[in-house]
Amino acid sequence: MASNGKYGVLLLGGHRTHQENYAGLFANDSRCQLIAFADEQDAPIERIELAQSLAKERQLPFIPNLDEALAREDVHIVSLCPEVERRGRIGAKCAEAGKHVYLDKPMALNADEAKLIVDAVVRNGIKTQMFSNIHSSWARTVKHALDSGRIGELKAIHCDVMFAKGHPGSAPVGQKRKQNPTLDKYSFVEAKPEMFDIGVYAVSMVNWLTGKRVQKVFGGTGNYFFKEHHGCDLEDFGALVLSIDEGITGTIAAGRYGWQSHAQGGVRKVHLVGSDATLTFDASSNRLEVFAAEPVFEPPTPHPLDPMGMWSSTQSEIGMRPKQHWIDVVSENDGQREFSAFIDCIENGVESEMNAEFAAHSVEIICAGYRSAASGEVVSLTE
Amino acid sequence: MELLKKAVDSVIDKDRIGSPVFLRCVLNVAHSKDSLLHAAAEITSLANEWIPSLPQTVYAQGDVNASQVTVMVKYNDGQMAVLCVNRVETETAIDMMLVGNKGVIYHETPIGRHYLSGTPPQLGNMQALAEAITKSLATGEPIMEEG
Repeated sequence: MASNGKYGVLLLGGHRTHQENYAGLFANDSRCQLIAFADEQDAPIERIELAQSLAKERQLPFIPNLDEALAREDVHIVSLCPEVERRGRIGAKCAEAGKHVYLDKPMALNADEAKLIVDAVVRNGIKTQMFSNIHSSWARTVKHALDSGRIGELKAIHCDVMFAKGHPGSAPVGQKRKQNPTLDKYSFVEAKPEMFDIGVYAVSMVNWLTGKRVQKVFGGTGNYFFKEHHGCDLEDFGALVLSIDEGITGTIAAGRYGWQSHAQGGVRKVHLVGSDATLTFDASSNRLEVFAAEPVFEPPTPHPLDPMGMWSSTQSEIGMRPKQHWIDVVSENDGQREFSAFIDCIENGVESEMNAEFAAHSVEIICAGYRSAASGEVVSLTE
Repeated sequence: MELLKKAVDSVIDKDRIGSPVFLRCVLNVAHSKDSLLHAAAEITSLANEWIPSLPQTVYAQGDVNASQVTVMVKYNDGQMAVLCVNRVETETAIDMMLVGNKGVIYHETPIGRHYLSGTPPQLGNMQALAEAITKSLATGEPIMEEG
């Protein structure tokens, strides 16, 4: 901790990354002080410029040499949001420098890259956490119900996380997706692999709720909605059936399905099936429904640098108006709770419930899902 | 299921959701001592009717004589369905999401204090893919369908 009693936070990744949100959430925690932005010297020029522009907006310096930034004694935490393709290498480097690492989701491109981070974390004894939904109030409600024993012995768990963003109906209809067994490239301006990018929320939720390992995966991917994903050869939707320890069945469905596909941001739902009872949890169930003489929601004109509506800055530029039909009757502090929980772990010397080692299993499962979708076979994680 | 099917068909027929690409369905069957195979086959029949393609692969997990069975169907043109049937002691109920390439149909049988207002799904006699589900459960492998 710094002489002023605060944790210094180094920020990697700039505009058009989740650092747009994370920087503010770290800054809101009174135990943290933002120090600077930084990147690798040989990072893509566009990424450096985007980091510089966010640094300027936040009135922070940009350090063009990551090694120099990591050598600073006033840096204690690194908030890691570079492109997914660079996360394994950079995450390991930050851990080797003895810094605590907050990992954007997904933490790495594949299981090998995730292992780079996990191994460096183990060697250096630092604290990590990957962004997820587990600190949201609805996820805590599910966990509480499961832990209470109300459903008896868990037999199955089903989790759907969908994002109601993008302009659907432009992908070719009835054209079966041919899935590659591995992902070579993740980051495109117009698209991301959604079974990974959104599915990681659902898979990490299932892992966290059960606390058990997945043994086998059967999965499929689709190009159902967007020409952008089809053009990048990335799926916009995926589904997995999981064989979890102790005979538990898990399923997840995840993807991006269009601005008007849901009254809010998209389905977030968990079904618990137990030996004594079943329970269903919908993150949107505790809501007001407002009908008023006001304009209905109109999908925004696509931003040329963000047609899928991924980033706060680009959506602000096009004057994106929020949906107002459903209004949550819950705490709006889920995001802050996520970041405060990480600082709590550092302060108290305890592991995060979504630390790198735990989160790496989600990466392993989803990558197995791609191999299954490619082969049509069940993929074992235990062989 | 006829009432639900008729209502969903009316939306599909008007092309409001575009072409159906994915069905997620969780069916709770109350107070049944029978095998869940019949119910699993019935919601698989629903999926087969709504998805405009033929089933290619059927993969199932669980135990039709125990708490739950889960079926994933992949179709020839790339569509999918993930269908879950659970044995419960409360009410027969269904929670479904039929995703089209331009929109979604959600339906959930009213539960809790609203449940008497609902129309619980009535199981019929369709047996689509029952053999494939049984075979997948026995082998632990996906079963290829002809067609």
